[in-house]
Amino acid sequence: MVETTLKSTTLKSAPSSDPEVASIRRSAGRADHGAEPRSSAGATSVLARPAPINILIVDDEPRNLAVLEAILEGPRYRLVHAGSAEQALLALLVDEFAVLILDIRMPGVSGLELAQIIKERKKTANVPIIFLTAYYNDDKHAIEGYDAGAVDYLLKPVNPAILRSKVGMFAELHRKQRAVEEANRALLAEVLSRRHAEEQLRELNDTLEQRVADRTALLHASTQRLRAIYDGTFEFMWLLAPDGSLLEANRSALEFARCDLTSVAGRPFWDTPWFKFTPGAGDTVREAAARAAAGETQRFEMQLHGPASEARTIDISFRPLHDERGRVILIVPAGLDITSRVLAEQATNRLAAVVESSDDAILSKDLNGIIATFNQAAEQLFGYKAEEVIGKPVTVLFPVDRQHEGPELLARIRRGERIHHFETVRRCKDGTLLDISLTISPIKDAQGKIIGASKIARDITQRKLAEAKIHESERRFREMIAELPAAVFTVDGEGRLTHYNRAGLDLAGRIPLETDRWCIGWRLYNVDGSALPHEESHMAVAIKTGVSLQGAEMVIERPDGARKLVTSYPTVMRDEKERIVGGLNILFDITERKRNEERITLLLNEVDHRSKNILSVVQAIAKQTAISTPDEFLKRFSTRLQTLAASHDLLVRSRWQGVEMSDLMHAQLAHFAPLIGNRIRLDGPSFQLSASAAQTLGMIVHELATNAAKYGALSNDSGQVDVCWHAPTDVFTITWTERGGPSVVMPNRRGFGSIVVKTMAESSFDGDVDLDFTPAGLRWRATCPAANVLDKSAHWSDNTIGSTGCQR
Amino acid sequence: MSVRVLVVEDEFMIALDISQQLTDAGCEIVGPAKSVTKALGLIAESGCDVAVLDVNLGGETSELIAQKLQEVGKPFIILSGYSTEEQPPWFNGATVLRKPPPAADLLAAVRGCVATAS
Repeated sequence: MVETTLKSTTLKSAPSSDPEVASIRRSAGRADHGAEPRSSAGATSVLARPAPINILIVDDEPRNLAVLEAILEGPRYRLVHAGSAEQALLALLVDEFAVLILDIRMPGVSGLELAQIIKERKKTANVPIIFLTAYYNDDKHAIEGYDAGAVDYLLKPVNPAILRSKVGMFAELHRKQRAVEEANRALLAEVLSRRHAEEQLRELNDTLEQRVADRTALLHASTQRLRAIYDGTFEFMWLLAPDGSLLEANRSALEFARCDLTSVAGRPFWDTPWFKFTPGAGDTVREAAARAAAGETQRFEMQLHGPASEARTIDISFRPLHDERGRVILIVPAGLDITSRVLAEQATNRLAAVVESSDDAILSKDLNGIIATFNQAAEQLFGYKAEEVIGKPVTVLFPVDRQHEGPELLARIRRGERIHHFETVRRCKDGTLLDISLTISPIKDAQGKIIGASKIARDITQRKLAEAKIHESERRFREMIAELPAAVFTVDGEGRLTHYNRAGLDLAGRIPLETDRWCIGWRLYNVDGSALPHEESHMAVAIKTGVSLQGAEMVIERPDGARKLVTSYPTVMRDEKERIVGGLNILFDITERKRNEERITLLLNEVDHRSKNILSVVQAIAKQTAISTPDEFLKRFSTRLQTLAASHDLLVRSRWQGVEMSDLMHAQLAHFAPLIGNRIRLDGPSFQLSASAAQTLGMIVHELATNAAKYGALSNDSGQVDVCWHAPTDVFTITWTERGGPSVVMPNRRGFGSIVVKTMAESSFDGDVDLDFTPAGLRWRATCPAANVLDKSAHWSDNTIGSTGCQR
Repeated sequence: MSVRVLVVEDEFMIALDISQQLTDAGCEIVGPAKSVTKALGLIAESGCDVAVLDVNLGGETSELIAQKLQEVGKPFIILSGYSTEEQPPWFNGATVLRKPPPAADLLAAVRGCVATAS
């Protein structure tokens, strides 16, 4: 019983949440129950070697006790003595007795009263009592004794054999009863134990369904969680059968390929939309799947193109999944889109390459001023190798007197300041000091925390030299422009005048205003005289169209009203990036040249006109020259042409500006040159004849002289001719007077000569002409307004007027 | 009745020559005039049927004469020493003869004008 309880306790206290384990214990417990015979075996061993039977002897007489002891002495019995009823009750409390031998007559509580007490007690009610007495040997006492519960009633002196027999019987009875009780107890324990086990089993059966439901729910939740992770991850996940056919793909993977699982499930993995847009990818994947099927885990990066052909870089792995026997039952490919990381790495690499190849010295330092990177240009600038300075404080580059700059700059960097073009001095490895310009920027980590600074150092000694060079070349350029005889001005991209030279100011006749745009001229016109707005002038057009012009013409009006015709050569100026930044215009004043050209054109026309006129005159002279004989005609005609030619010579010599009177006379009387001054007297003031008057007068003088030589004063050896002219007021008079010649006869025919000297003279001079054939000699006199014969450009010259009197 | 031809030419010899040619052909000469003023005076005083105008009258042109002739509805012939093809507007489509003009051309031009006018 105790053992069963103990087992049950063990069962109950088995601390396991695993129902399987619990069931195993339970079955183990059942097995233990099956092994219960151990307790029966124990009972068997009790029977084999019986425990002594307790016998209580109650007697107030020690002699009686000794007698009874002597009778019952032996190993079968343990005799317990009680001298009184109290002692007997005490013994009964302590031990269990097979039989009680009770003396009736005892002081105090008698044997009969004790028997009644014993029978009233439940525990002892069934203990057989044998009364023993020497005094009450009658039936009345015997009945009283039986009533009190005695099983027997023996009288003293007792027959030892009967007593031994009776006690032996009761002892045997007790032993059997004990064995039965023992067996009953064992049976009961077994029954109880089984009942308990059944109860537990029932209880377990009752909760099993709930547990299965709970477990299923738990499993479902766990699967859901896994599924959520599976579908929620950005990673692409697939499950493949060992032959490489697709079983599962998670949401990320399906979204990448823009397909659904049903359309791809069962297809060979390498023949799915993930790989079909990327040449070669299918082969790679087929091989990877085959190796995974053989148990090998692989991981590599590959380029994949989605349906929209966007290239992604995928970090992909293939893992085999084994069963307990080590066979590959699944292949699990998983991929992570690392495009942005790859791009970032590329960008970082590129940036690093840029920094390394930069012509600017670039170094970086941490917040303690320790150099972390040092590029090639920095090596060249400072003379240190990168490995010499990396890990050293940046102050190794500081001259002694600038060490204080380190902490100051670091403090500014820590505050997140950017430092632009900080001009300072740094020291090279060889001790040379450099003028440099520093640009320092904080370096931040991904969380935006400042972790250091980058420094770009530029050697500005070179820049300063270059600047000086630029200034010098600019100065030379300006000087050169200033010296140019042509007008030059420059404008910026918006047309503001940025520079102009002296010749420009001279041409424009003004100093340009702030508000002027595109040209230094005050007002501009096209060559045809129409107004030309400044914003449409050549420079503006060139800059707006980006095309330089060559020699376009326009007119610039100065504030004083003078207009200048110019050709302009606007040139577009660009910066190194070919952006238009302004322009330069060179203006040439071609007003004079143009005027000359016009004059030449005019002159050519005039020459044209005059030569045609002369030809016409020649034609007319030829017609008018009377034909006597061919020889005579030729002679007369040629001398008349010579007359024209002589006058013409004079006109050409004077540039057609008129002919001095005396020069004309000398030229026309050249045949008579030796006579001039003696037989031919020329008298008159200096007088500038107009071109046409000179031509006409030349012909008249020729005809008069020819006539004189043929018929008149010059036909003999003594005749004289006076040629006088004067113009005292605005009337011009010229006279030809012959004397001393042969007697003059009025010609009967009016020939070419008389037409010339009379009609032509009147007509040409618009004056009066008198021709008198007096016997003393021919007299010719012409009077006309001086203006008709005077060269208009000539001035009166009065110094010789009237110096000699003339015959009228 | 003979044709009255106004001759305007500042060069006497040419005027003489033209006049003689026209006279020989039976024309009556008005002028010759060697200036604008004189020519306009002659047109006003005696009129003409047709005129022969030299372009350049030594400092002035025959433009005003041509205008006057158009006003009075008389045709004219231009005599020009210039070789240019360009003709000022006041020529108004008149026959232009180059100097020196062949006699035949001059007479043909005058006859043409007269025929058109009548």
